[in-house]
Amino acid sequence: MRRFREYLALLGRAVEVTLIAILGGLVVLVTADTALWSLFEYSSPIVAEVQAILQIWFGFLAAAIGVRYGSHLSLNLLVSRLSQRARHSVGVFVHLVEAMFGLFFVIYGAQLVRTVSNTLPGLGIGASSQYVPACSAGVLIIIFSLEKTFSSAHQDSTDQEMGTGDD
Amino acid sequence: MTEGTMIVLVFMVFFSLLLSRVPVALALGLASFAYFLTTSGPPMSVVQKTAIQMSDEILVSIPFFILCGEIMAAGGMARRLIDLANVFVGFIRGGLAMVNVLASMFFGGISGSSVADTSSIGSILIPMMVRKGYDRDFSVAVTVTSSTQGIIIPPSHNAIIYSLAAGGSASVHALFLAGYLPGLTVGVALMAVSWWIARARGYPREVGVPLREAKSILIGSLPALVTPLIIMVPISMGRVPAHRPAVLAVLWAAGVSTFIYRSLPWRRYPRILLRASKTSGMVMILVGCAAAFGEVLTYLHVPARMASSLLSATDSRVVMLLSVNLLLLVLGLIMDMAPLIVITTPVLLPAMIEVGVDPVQFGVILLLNLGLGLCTPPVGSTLFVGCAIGKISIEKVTMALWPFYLVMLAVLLLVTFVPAFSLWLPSIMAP
Repeated sequence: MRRFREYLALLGRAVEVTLIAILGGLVVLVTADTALWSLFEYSSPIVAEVQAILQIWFGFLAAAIGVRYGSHLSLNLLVSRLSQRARHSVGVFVHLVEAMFGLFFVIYGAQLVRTVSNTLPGLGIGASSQYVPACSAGVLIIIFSLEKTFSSAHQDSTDQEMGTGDD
Repeated sequence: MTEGTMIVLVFMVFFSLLLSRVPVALALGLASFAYFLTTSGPPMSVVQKTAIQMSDEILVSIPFFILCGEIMAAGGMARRLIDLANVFVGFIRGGLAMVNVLASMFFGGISGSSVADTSSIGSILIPMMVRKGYDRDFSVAVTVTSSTQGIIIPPSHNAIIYSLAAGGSASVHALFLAGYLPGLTVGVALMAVSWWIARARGYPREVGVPLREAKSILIGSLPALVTPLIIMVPISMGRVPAHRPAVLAVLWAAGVSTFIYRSLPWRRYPRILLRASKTSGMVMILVGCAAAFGEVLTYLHVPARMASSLLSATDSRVVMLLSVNLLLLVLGLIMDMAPLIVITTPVLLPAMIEVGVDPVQFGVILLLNLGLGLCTPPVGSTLFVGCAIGKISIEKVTMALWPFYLVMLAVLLLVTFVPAFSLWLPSIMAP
């Protein structure tokens, strides 16, 4: 179990490093494009396509890491009024819903990758590649939300053993 | 299933998930999936719409603005802007409160984020104000309310979110210009209230800064002051897409912090990039899923239905505008800003256009309303950050907020009922 957690931490770190690289890459790409555009009034279609793909990867990976750290915006108004035990159950429910969201993105993202057949004119690659990040992020969301579900359940059983559960 | 039943189903899924503390972006996505799974439409449209929206060229300016704000906060620009504000208004009674508002006007205008503003300005000024004898609740209240200027004074990433949610009916360029006058008015009004309270409570004034020192402070803060110009001048003059000046502002802020101020070593950049990634990624998935949800609402004719029911409820434009303001204020109490922009814009904007409200004016009304919401419990992210920095309870600060809240409401009414107040500048600079 400890080793499994270490692998998950490593995976989370890898996603973070990828996010940093993508944001840095976007800064470099848009700077270069802006320079070209300012000097020669030219904007490469390849740059626009790479930028779009990077943005999609960035958005989906950040969504996955947001699930890991619980940093997505949510409404705490009602749940905060519940007892600790009820809050815990709601927490587990939320993680399962997050996993379901990830599963939908894997299934329908994969369907989209299979269905879309046109080509990106600048890069000359399949337009379906734009939807690969949705599947990847879906897998990550499932992993991270299940990790949180299990750690919540583990926390609950520990609390019960120690008699700290709130009725 | 009838269209009415589908609407009930979609909103039931959305609100039940929302109330269970499921992240807003995911609730929007799942409600969209629920629609497609119960109709003959393909559920993969949700994924497609989310991805396409996230690849929008303009959307990349959000991470850039957030990154710029992070670099400025970490690179000591906030400290210099506070020193500069002190030169201008520190000598007036309640000078530090004035400095707080003016520094937020400078900094918020650059970072575009009220939370970043509260944490960077507040962490310096709140303890300083308390040491000088200002009441703690007052110090936090003035910090929290003044930071909302950043939402309206350009460049504001929330204005970009609105522009995207409005589906192109309000350009980023026009929205930025429309925010100047209301934002500056909020600042002046907050300074007036601060002065009035300071006089009544006998808060101190700061010693005037000698001319020579003032000069060196001004020179030192010039690079920070140039940052909003880098963004705003090209956008105002040449209709340049927002992401181009935004990336230049990032490079400028990094260059100034690292090479001129020498206060931001390279090793700190990965952490700054990661923090900006987490914040902006959260916004991007929200905007993406909201686009999918917006498409579902359009299939179900919800915006048109909402417009017609609002129009049939009252003939009076005044009553309708007041009701929409009230609705937004109430929603602002319980939900955060970005989700509300993406949810309410497609629903309310058609009705507003029907009664003759310009989409740009409605954008400013929406941002001001939701900015007020950021300062109010139970869900007010700026208020929470302010209270955490000031080490004071939310209840105490809420009581101290009222005078500030009232003047902000007055500005809101001005924006609502005097269209020229927000539309004058875009009409001459972006006709």
